[in-house]
Amino acid sequence: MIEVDCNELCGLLGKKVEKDKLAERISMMGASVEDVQGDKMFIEVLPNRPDWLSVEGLARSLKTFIGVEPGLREYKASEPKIEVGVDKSVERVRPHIVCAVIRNVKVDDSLIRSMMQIQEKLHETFGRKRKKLAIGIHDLSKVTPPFTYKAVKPTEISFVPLGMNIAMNLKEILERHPKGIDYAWTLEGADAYPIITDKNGDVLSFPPIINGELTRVYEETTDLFIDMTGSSEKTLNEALNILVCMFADRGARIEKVKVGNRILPDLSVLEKEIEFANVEKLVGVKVSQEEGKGLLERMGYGLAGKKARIPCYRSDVLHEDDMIEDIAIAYGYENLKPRRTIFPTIGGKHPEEAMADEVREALMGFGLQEVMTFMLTNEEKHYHSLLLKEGKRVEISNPKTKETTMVRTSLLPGLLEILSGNKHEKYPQNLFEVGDVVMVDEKEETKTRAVKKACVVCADSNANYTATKSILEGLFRELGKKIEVKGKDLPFMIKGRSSEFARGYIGEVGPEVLAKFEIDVPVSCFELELY
Amino acid sequence: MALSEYEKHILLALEKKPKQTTLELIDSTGLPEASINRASTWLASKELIDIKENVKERIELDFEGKDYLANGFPERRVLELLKEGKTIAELDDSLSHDIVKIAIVWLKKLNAVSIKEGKLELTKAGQDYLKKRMPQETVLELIAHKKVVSKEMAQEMDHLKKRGSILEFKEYIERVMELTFRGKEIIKKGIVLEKEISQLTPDMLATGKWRDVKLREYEVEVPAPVVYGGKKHPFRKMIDKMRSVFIEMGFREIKGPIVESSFWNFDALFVPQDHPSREMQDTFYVKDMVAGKPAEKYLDNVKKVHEESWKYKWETKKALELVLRTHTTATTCRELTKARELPIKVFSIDKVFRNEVIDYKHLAEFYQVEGIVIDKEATLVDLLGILKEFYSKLGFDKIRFQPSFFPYTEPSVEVQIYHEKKKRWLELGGAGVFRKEVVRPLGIEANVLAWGLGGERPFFIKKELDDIRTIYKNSMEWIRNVND
Repeated sequence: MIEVDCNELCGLLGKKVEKDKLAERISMMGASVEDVQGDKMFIEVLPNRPDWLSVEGLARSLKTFIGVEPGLREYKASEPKIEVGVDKSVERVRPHIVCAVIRNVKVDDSLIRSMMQIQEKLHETFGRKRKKLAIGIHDLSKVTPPFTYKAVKPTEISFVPLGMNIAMNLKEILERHPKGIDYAWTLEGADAYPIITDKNGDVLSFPPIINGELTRVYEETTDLFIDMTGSSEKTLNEALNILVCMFADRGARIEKVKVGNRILPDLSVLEKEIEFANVEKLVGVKVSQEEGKGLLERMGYGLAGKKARIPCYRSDVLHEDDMIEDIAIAYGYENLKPRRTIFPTIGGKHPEEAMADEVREALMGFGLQEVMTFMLTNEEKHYHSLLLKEGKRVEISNPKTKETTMVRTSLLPGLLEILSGNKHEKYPQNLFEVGDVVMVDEKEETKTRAVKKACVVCADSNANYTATKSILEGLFRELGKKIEVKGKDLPFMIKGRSSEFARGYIGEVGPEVLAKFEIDVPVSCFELELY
Repeated sequence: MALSEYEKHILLALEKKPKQTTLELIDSTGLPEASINRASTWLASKELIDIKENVKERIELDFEGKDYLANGFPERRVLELLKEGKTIAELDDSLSHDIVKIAIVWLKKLNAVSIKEGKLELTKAGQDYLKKRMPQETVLELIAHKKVVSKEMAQEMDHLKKRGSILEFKEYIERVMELTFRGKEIIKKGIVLEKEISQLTPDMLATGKWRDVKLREYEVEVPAPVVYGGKKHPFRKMIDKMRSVFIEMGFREIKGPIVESSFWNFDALFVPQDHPSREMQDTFYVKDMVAGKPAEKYLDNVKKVHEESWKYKWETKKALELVLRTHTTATTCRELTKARELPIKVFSIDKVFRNEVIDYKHLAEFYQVEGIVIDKEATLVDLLGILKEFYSKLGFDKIRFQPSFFPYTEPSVEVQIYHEKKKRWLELGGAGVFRKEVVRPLGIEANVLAWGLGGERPFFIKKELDDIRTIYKNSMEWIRNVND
């Protein structure tokens, strides 16, 4: 979610657009406007468009989309003057780095806000919390090139980190600096930490943790040095292009940097073939060559012959379908006419669900009320409350709460919980559930099997085994099946009042279990596997 | 004039004493209170009696009063402790300081104690009270046993009234029934009490005894006792409705594993292995178990498409982690491998799981409305047509589509329905055409229209709920009374 000032957005657009219209156009372009408060707009940017994480990037696309200035915007960069050496030592800890220089930038409040916002958002999503990508933006005038990216021992180098006034070594920063504490996990297990220094050994940055105070960007700053480090070179180059274009949109000049033996950023335009006839095959609307060209330009592309020219800040365009989607967006989803096409097929229930439906119908015929409960539960409710030992089950390795530590293997505990929650309601409460449980089964690909079960509970002052058995036998009669029960004591049932049958059990729930669920009336029940 | 048996009993009782309260009538007729109330209401409607209602006050014990009755007044407890020779300082060991303070105030009023040089001593009167009741105790017991409190004790009553929560004064309505002139006339004409029979029995029918009895006339207009039949859970009704709409539209229902391998839940759907949705805080991972490998060709194809598109090292190990499926798209994805003759149209309405803390708008498990259409000719506008048709059959005529993004569809749309009450558009979920990166590795060379929408959302809107947990709380009050 990003926050955008409408006036600023209109300023960048070079056109005054009503707030409502603006919100509507942004939504129809593919970012959803979640809220508007005064001049502030809160926009959910989807992960395929990281170039919209700044107001500049959003304005750039909107400008073509609403037709202020359609077509491809090409970005140029001047030849490199600065070099960054990459030492082999970083390979084991944080292997990749990309850089760029920005000249003649006008640093003001809105730029600083935009800069911070895009850094934070890129870190969070694209950068997988800085592990995959971390950005440093520096005042170039405070340091002396060439720069070096290398890994050093945790206590080897000290510098004053951003926001502090004393020098700390890298180990101390990880232990004591707030950012160090937050992001120490990204360097876990490393014996040397990455660092960027200048010719004199002054520290620009300790990625992905913190920059040096030395290169802090102020309003007087005119030239910036950008570093991006991380685990994926592809991601770094994509993010670098997004960031430098944002500065260029503010009127700054991009200057390349020699990083190792590469010259970055690479702002070249990618060309991919597009066949407009394929739009109809995927979207269902006919688009002529002429229309197609116009639609592509609305989305910031160019067209050269049969090839679409893709802007350098777009990394999400993998093949033709991506461009066709953009063409559909430019065409306007609101202009797509839903079409009723009959794809001739025959519908039907899944046999397991058909069986479940039949059982539900039969049980309702006996006057029972259906309930629906959760499949997630915990051992206390599922086993201990029923005086059962923990059995084979699917356990959750990362539950957020103690309520959801396992998947149920039986429906009875859930139904007893419902009785417990309804003890002030009128009795009898004769309830049932037909639902899935999950059993461990080593033979299956997923090591488990979903099993459809049915469970009935009868709670009333005179609930008893025989009355419930009548329902059980009635159910089997309805299903056209035979049932034979065999006496069997179960831990959660009254002794001598329970029995088993093929894939099920029936009985009167024991008073100790009722007490655990705080149920004040007798309960008889049965449960069986359906499928 | 037709009179019921009970009405006759009441008239006859009033003949002896023409003005009686309900309590008196219970005594004089021997009928239960409910019958007297009902019958006298009928008599009043026939203008045979007048009913006057007086507001009266009744004294009952409040919570402190009940406590004192069971455990003794504070002053009694202190008195007992003093008898055992406890000093003022030691009193606080057995009783709270507040209780001791209250007790001493009241003991002093009774002249039962004196304080000399900081020492609390029993007086002569105090000694006496060890053997007899204090006046407040007498009054409390009288009230507890609903006995009349004599005039001499009135002052004590006032004291108790002022002492916080000992007594409670409750208003109640006393009904007084009095014969009217018409009532007296009717009685004068003579009332014959015949034994009335309420239930006709098989025996009476068999023996012909029914000829000799009078069957009591019913008060046919009074409300009957409440009974609750068995019915579907309200949300199941909606699920079943959705299922039948799909089936009407020619869709076949499918089911798939609830515990699913990451391969089918994520990888086959082109979700990169470091994608945020795969993180622990969003997805439930299964402890100590690993999925078996899917067919080698799918494994290879999926690995290849990930590595070529995303440029990273795809790990089989990560694909075999078991999760609780985060969407039923895992199930439709498996269906792709089974596709033979086109077109294919399948759906599922089933449980999915997200690692969420449950609150009024979040559940950790919920239903997803899922479907796919596989056909060479299927396009985005057909998808919109199917969704529009589906929701209109459910009663949602206002539906719109916006561009969106999902790793496995291209183009992608977000489906929204209009909430008439709240006057705004609500997100239902996503839809789109499966990416080539999804369908090709699984052997499909056709377009696959797909959607995965929230199941609870439309229900929530229809029933105007304000807490999503209501659906699974199964409150009998709600389930029994909710209707369409």
